[in-house]
Amino acid sequence: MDFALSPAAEKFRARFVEWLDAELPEEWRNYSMHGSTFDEVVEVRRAWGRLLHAGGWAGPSWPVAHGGLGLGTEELTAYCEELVRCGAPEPMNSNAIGILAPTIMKYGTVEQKERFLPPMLAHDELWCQGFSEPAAGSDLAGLATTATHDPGDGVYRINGQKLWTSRGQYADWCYVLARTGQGSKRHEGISMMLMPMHQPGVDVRPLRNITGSSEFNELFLTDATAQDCDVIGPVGDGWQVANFALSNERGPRLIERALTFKQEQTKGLEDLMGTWDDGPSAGVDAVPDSMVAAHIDARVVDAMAHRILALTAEGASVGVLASMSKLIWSEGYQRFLSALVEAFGADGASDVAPFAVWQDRLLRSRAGTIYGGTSEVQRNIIAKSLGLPASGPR
Amino acid sequence: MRSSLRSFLSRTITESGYEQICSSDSGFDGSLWNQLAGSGWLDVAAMSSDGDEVSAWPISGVHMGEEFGRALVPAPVELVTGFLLPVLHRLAGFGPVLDDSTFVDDLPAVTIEPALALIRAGAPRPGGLTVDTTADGTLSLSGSVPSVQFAASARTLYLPVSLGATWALARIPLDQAGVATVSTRSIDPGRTCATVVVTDVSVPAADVATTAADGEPMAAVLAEALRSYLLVLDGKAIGAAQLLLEKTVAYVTQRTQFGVPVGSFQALKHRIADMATSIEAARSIASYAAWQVAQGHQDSTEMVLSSRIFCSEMYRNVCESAIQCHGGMGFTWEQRLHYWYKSALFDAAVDGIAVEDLGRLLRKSA
Repeated sequence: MDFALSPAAEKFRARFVEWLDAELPEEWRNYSMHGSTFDEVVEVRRAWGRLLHAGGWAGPSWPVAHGGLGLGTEELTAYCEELVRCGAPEPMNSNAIGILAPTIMKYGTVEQKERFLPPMLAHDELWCQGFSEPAAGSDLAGLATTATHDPGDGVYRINGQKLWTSRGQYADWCYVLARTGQGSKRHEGISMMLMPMHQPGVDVRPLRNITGSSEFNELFLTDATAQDCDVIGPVGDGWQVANFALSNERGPRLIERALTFKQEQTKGLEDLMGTWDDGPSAGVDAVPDSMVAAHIDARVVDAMAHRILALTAEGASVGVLASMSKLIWSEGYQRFLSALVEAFGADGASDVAPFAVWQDRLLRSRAGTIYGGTSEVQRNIIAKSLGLPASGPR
Repeated sequence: MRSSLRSFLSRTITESGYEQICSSDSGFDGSLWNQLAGSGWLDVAAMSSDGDEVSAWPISGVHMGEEFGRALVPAPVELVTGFLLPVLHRLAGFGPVLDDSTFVDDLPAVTIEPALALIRAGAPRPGGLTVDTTADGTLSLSGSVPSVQFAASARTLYLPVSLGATWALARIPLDQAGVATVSTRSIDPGRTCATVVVTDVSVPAADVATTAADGEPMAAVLAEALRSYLLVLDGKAIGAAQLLLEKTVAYVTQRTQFGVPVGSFQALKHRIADMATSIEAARSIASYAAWQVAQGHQDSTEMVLSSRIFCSEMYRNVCESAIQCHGGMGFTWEQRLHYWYKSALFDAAVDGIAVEDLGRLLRKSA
């Protein structure tokens, strides 16, 4: 297995770095959400998305025909690495660009592609996702929201409740999973459709998260409408479409997470040594074992990400390594932050820099073992891949 | 290549053969050793440099180590493959002629412990050996060298020695006056150890290597071989853990309680999923570290130490989970899980890279 990037990818990296050096505003480097209101964060993230688009650097894995960069695995790795290295904010539409767009490209009509893709990439229209529901979390096929076809008006009327809809209060559009019919199995009769957010039937109620900010929402849908031409893929076969969409969440995210973990682990150690009375050069003989463990964990995550990218570049299947790397990353990252805050001692609880930023990161990190398949779901997937017997009803 | 090594090892080392060696007085079988030494498999580093279809060294070393770990070889194969042969290949005309019969009837005793100071930060651990150098390059040694694997069955000791500012590799015949080996059994029944006690032993300059054939100082040669040896040990841990995972999955699938296979219970599934995940994580960091070493990457030592600590802990944890998932059977001698567990404990203790070693290195580079 060759972990090195190709000369072409390195050339691409050099061009991208040159552009970033010139265009990324200083105040957006090493961007931290801490200390800003979410309104301010959204403004920055939207503006950054627009700047990337204007410079011709948006949509890294989109085909060139759709206005993207058409990057292969190795160029994409370099692209993600450089964004993390300079600590750029996440573009506001990155979820839609990474997850919804490939799904529209695969399942959508020509009209849907022309209508939705350009304003998404340009950040002229913002998107949110309407999959999870109060009774459909890990068990997504348990969703109960209905979409009833009204052929007279040419619309679906959507009723139900969605949950964990990130950025919903800022979004213009939502990609929704809803039941359009009855199937013999639970995952049949589901469809994926694009629904405008600015209409009377859509009620967005922000939920406050563990850090105190309101980034995700509940959506209450009461006869909200979506045009029947805006169903993505076959009506009733949305389960397959949704699974394709979610499978796009992986590759580039892995490199981002791995590098972020490595950078924060280095910075965390510096901050910790900065608290030692005699500075980093004397006194304590060695860094605490928990911080060494974090150093190792960060390298393991990085190695797994590179292994997965190398496999992808060779066209090989990644299989259950995706679940394994998510587990190793999310749990290792949480352990690191928790141990770091503990190692700060009493300082770790104070509301001054740099400690408050680490507290914020620790609190945020708790989401990592819950979203995108909880740790428990990942372990079930891994156990199944090992051929362990199915659990029967007891 | 790996599958032919696997079938060679499974033909050569049977379960009953392994147990016989472990319970014998010497803990060593010369005819098994001759088969291994004469097979050509131990010199994988040389194969890699020939540019045939073998991965670059030490990536191939990790792969070889995996097969050694599955088979659990009761001989110092990791030290010879990972450390000694890579060093000897760099030293022209020092030691035995390197060919297909090198080390047949000539088991080498190797210790890396003194040389670990080269790659871990902090003061060298106080050794029990005093080394005096005379003007003509002869070394005079007195003291003891602990935990030398299979030393009681070996004919020659290969010993890294610190000469103050420089390093050397000394070749010391064990059957000479002034050398005594004091045998000790270790927790690993497949790995006997001895303390080698030397009293005023002279090592002539011809048996002291101070530079490589290309003039590179011995310290660099030893450090390079240490990295590859630690990666072979990582491979051993990965291969052994993979085998225990397979045994565990097979066991919990056939063992029933409450009318269902115990492997259908989520408590066991999640524990076994963690075994598999840690094995793949170890495989990832070991191959990434080996790739960095092969590329001559700058911070490869730090990666090798990280990988060693991770793989060592992974091996022990996987053994412990395997024993637990086998229930009472896991605690029996006959189920054989204990052989791997004991090897994991041995590898962590002897030549072990500890968390504090890496901690010092990180602090030094901060």
